Amino acid sequence: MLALGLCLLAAPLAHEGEPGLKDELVPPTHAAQMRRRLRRAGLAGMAVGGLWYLAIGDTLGAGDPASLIAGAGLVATTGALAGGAVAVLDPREPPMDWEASGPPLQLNWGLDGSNTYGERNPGGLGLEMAPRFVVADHMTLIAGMEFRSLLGSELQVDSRPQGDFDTALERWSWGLDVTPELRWYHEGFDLRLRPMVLTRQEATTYADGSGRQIRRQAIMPVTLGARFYLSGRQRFAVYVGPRWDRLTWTEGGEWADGDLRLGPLYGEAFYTLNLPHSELPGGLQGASRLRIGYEHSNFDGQGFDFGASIGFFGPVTLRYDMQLRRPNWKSGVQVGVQGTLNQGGGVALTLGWNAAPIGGQ
Amino acid sequence: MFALLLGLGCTRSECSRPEYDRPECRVQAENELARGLSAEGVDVRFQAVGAADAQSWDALGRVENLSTGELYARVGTLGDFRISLETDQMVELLLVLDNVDPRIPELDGQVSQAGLRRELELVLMPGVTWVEGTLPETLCSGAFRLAAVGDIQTNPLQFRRIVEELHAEYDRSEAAGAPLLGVVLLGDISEHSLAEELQEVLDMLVSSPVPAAVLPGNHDVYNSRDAVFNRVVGPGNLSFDLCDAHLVLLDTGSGRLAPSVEGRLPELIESDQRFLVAGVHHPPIPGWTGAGWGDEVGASSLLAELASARADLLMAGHVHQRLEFDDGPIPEVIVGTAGADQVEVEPDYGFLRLDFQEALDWCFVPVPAAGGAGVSRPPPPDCSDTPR
Repeated sequence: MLALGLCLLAAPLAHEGEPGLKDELVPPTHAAQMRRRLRRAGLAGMAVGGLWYLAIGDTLGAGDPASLIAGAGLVATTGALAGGAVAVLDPREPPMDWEASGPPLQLNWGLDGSNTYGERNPGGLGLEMAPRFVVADHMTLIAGMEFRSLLGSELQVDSRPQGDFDTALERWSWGLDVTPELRWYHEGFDLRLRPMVLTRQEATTYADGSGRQIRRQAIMPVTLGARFYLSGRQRFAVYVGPRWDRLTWTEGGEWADGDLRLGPLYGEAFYTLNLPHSELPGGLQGASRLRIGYEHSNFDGQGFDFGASIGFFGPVTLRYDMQLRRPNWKSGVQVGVQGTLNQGGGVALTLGWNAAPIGGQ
Repeated sequence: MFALLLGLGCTRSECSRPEYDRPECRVQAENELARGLSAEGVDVRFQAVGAADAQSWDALGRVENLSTGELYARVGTLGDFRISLETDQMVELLLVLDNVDPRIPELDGQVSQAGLRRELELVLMPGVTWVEGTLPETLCSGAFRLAAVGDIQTNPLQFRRIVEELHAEYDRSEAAGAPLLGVVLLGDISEHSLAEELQEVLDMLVSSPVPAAVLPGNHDVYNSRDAVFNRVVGPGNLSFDLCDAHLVLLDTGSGRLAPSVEGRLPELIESDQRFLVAGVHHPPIPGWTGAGWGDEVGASSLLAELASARADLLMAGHVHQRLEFDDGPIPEVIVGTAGADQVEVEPDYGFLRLDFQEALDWCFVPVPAAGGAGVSRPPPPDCSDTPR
């Protein structure tokens, strides 16, 4: 059912386009029509996902794909509307020589904080590496990997009125994502395979002074994706795949065995708008990217809840990147900001170095 | 984070701006509501069984001043309970106790008993007076049983049938030499977090032969303006002993634990009792039920602590089915079968029977819908001594 739903969402887009890696930047001839199709497909996805969700109620296992389809539909609809609005300013949407894409090297600073007495949310820092290699005609490999850590311990107080609001929970965590991705470029779209292993280790000190380390792993060996070129500057991508979880913890200093078991579905959907800049001071050239996304996962914390619908939806993200280059340079500096819409909210700043794929033209 | 960025107030104490769809604010509410001051100046507090100091208190029940002048205390736990009453002068007090096991011997000052409710006329002297209920030793000398079920939502009439079936279960348990000591409700006892819905369920429980311990589900606690579950029902996080079992019932109505509850997990779980049983609304293993918790970090902490403590069983609701899993860190049973829509032609309603004998065993007592033949979708299997 999920495959059918996602196919319905994407099928209207799988037509014309231009072939080849370097030709990726050539626009389809009917961008407005593509966006209309995507908007309709997105609305249909939201309707199907929403009705499916309403029909099954709190039966979460069945609601899992429904939420993913609805979330992808939301991104498709919102993205197509935003893309249409941007295209009004520049109806030709000519392709750009280079874009603010995912950089090979990037620092990621997750801002956080607390305005509650006695509590601390120090935020986190991540180092992301994702060099791209052209491995064959129409095929690239992205060797994605990220290490991240909290910049100190998170503190939570015991707010019971009979106490002194002492610290109830202290936690420090780090994580490692291994996310290699293979992309095949086709006419008007590309296909992607991204096996992923996400590891998080949390060291917790409880109110009674005892402590425990917990290691969580989400293993997604066959996350499949597709990206559709709606115009020379706009893309819509979806990923979906099964997830297996492994949970282990320390007992008396030893790690307990943790079995691998099937987890919830993993999915992503995002709509990307690339925006050119006129020449900047100092002869710099710039290109921006605006991206709205939905990640169907609560692995890293709180998802997006509304009313009594709790635990179904992952976070919605809005991201802006800008790359700056010297004229004729093949690489540049890229800065970005990402806002996350979930129960707690979140903002992250990124600073990276972007370059053309290794082995490309 | 967004509140911080938007500058919505300077640093302040936790929940000073209450948002009761946050579990930490409900922890504060359930503790505030576990004590009260009567018009006569009597400080009434729920206490842990065995507590000797009346200066503090525990969220093990709910205290309310009734408009009729009586003081009302609803016990949140099953079995034994303890309440302190402190005054600095001689005072006469009418105390109504609710959700008390009828088999607990007559209490000091008791003037009436009807089902789970008792009325006490107390003459308090300056100092601390303790009101304490203790199950007769005979009830805890051997095997005993509990019932558990979750998810009533829009079908309280089906739940009424389950409450009626508890009388038959009570008799069956007596005959089996394993008395039924209570029922655990695993959340979603309302649909829209309305006081009227919660009260309707409590009114039905008045006719139950045994007391109920209730934890909230996502449908019970999404009203950010009102701690309605804590105000009407009582505490949603409970940790207590019942005979030789330790029960830990946690508020996961927001898809996560309150940080302070998560921080106290070892304390709440630790016990020297023979059995350890936990209850939550949201099943904490994501793959068994889809996304499940909004915060998988907290779910993992709970599983690790329960597994380390060698918990015998984790009970959950939320999914409107009966399901059993034995391939996780601890055995888990889901029984969201109290009446909520099952999207089935013939629903599988009923409750879980926990049989505490030499080891803990469990099975499902079917309670078909009115006029329905009922179906059976094990595991857990139907209890063999329950005629369908």
